[in-house]
Amino acid sequence: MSREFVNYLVNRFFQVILIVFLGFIAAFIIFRLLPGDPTISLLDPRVPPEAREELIKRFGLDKPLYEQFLLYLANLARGDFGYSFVYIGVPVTAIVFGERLFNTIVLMSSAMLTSAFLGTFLGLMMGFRGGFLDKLFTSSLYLLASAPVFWVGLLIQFYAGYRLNVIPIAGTTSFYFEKVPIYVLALDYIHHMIGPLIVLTAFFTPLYYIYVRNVISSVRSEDFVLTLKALGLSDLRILLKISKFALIATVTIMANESALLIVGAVFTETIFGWNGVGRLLYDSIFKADYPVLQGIFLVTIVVVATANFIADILYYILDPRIKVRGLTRR
Amino acid sequence: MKSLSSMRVLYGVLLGILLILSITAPMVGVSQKAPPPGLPEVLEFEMLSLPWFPQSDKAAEVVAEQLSKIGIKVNLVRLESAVMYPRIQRTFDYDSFALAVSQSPNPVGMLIAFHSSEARPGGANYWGYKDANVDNLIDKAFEAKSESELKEYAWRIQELVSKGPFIPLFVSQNIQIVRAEWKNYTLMSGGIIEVYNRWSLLYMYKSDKPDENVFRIAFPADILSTNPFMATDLRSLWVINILYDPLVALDPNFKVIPWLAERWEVSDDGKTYVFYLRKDVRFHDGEPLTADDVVFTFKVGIGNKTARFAALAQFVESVEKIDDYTVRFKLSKPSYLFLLSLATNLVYVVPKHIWIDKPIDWGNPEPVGTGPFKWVSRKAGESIVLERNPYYFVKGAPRISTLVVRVIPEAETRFLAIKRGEVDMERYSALPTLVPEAEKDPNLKVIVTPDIWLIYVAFNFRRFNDTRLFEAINYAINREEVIKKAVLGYGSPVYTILNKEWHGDLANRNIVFEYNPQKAVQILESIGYKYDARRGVMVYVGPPAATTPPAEAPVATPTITTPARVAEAPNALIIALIIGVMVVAIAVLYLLRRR
Repeated sequence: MSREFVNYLVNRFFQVILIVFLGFIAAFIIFRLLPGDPTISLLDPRVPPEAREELIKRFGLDKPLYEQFLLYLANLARGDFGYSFVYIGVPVTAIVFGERLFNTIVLMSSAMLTSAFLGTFLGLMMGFRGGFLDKLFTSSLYLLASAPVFWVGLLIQFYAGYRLNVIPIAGTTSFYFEKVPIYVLALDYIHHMIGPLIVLTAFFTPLYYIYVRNVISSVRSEDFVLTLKALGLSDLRILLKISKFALIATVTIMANESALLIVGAVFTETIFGWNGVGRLLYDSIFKADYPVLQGIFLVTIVVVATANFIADILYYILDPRIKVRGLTRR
Repeated sequence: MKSLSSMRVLYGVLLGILLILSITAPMVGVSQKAPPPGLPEVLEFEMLSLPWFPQSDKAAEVVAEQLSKIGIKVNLVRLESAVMYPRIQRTFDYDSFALAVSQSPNPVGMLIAFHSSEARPGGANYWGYKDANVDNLIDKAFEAKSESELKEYAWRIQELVSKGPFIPLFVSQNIQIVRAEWKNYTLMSGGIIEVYNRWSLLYMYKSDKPDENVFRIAFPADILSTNPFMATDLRSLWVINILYDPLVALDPNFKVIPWLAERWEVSDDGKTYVFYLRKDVRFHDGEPLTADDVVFTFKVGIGNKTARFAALAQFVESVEKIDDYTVRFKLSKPSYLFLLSLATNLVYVVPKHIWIDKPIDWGNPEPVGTGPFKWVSRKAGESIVLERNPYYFVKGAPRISTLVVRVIPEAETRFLAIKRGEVDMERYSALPTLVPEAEKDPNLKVIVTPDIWLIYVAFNFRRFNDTRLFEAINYAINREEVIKKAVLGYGSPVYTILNKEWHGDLANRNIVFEYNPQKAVQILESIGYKYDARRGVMVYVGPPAATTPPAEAPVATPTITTPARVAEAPNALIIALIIGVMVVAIAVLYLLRRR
């Protein structure tokens, strides 16, 4: 590791910390601009007014703003994200972290990796090859990209889940109280994941495919490729050489889409009853549960910042030109 | 080039004239007058609506369409609850809104919403209704000593309030799609498993082998709380309701019956209630239920103004223990409604030995109650498992051995899951569109009962306080059509604040607003509104001259009765002509330019 690289890393790291901190402040401001009142989430507000006022007091929402801000920072430092407006007496950390975050990350990371692999591979092949197959794939994947997620989800649920009866309709498990060995649970979990995984893969693959295919088909006509051809390299060797360009594209998209790792599967999780953060986000928006939304927001900030940090490192390794830019930009 | 620029000047001039016309046009329309305070100049209202509650949202759409037919313009504004609620509850910055209010066998909740003391920010009287007579009657109703006395006041209140800004539309129907193998449930308003119905879950079964009676129910979202003091949503309360028991309960006809208290005595002045507790009740952890638990629950609940108990504070002055199985409630005033409130306010007795050192908003992760089911486990956002309490004091109940609550957010998914047998039924009403499909399936049964929601529209009485206006709107709404379009016919029309589905004889059935748009127009014209054809809306022109209705005497003196209409027609014609000429001129010029 060169000294230059270490410098770059340290610099980026402090930038990341600063961005995360600014994000935390932004989160505070955004959620105080909204009408913050734990009693607004009830459709049927048959709660006596005295009880409402008591509730508002309990959440400290009657305190001055600067006091709330100091409390917020102090609590964050202690890893306390506050208490949910609607899940009475339950801390936000218990709601967001734990099983929900685990479920979402398992689902989203497998979907993103599968689609990154599929999309990049297909894009690489089609971009390099061109011709009829390229046109066929490109147009059909464009079609797939424009299909609404909930529609694809419902189709899969109806045909695969109900008609063919090969995947479960909803949930993450079929065992609620029975005692079964752990490997059965794991298999069952994967079985439940198939539906949402197909939907998400169908959604993400075109993103990678289109980007990578365009990059490769423009690289294909560059002079150095011609030179390589003239030198008598086989197509496969050339493909391997220019696949680096595809990888840069893939890393870029992955970094850009990293926020979706946490919140990306809102519709899919809702349709398939997958108990994850995306569905929590959806519920919390409807119920105006600002502390939980704020918690998800904070987690997302951290994930995005971290993903971009990792992407920067990968760029550095993959493409020397980006490295120079990254250093001279300061 | 030159000819083009001169064309441009022409365009400019023409457009300028059009602009001036469009600004001045309203001034030459119907001769509008400033209305007295409490009436709008133009019958055009903004109506707030919650898009995620389709029953009231669709009803609002239909109402808007119906009112537009008689010249009342309603602009639907769809807002999220976080924006809408503060406007209707605290700042009162609205013309009207459409919403639903949950019904209970207890009329207190509906009545209190018309008391002027509740018109403050955060109070229940969102519409700001103010009538000293009604206030007086409500106070008296709360102190009524018998049902017949209560009924007398309730009927008079309804007569007055039905002319107010709260316009009830319908009580929707609860459509339950249940796996056909389940039998022995009890039908009640609210559905076979609503919280006021303690019976179905005690006696339902599908198999004679006890262990096979696993009942799986789908919820649209997770429960929010297991705290019996603070829970407010009907999903959480459904779970709490079967984990805990109330002092008194309701029979299938909504009459108060003994539950944890096996009997009670009322003093002659009606201000002291002595409850005698059952001696065979144990909490799930084995501790016996005693008077200490009851006294603790009510003292803590009422003292902390908790969501569930705060409403009892208006009745209860003190709660004290007489002996281990006897509790005395002292009331501040005698009231027939006290016992009913005890049964319908969903207040449950909690174990003192567990709650004594806990804050009132404690998360209560593993509830311990006396109810027919006991807590096994929960996966937040996904499932809850309960099992039958073998020591429950109702012998032979419950028959369900294991009860699983599953969270399935999408309505169609829940239906598919029921159809496939992954769950047995769902918590709330199914979508009416799914009924035909369900009826075809021999494995499913469709059970229809009145639901808990009363759908209504309400106007802001702080802005509009002429009750004739609301009377006209009542006549202009075709409730049958609203029901047909909003819930595919699954509802029954309601004309006043209490309804027969929930309040039985307390509902004043004499009050009916038959759909009658002509009558609505007549009422509005008698106030002083006139239809402005050009703007498509009724505007205030002042009440008709003299006190005789103008429609009755058209032959007498035409010069006095219809001056506005005479003046209006030529104006509109001239403007239409001018605009037409302008449009043609511009079109011709445009065609010329192209060449």
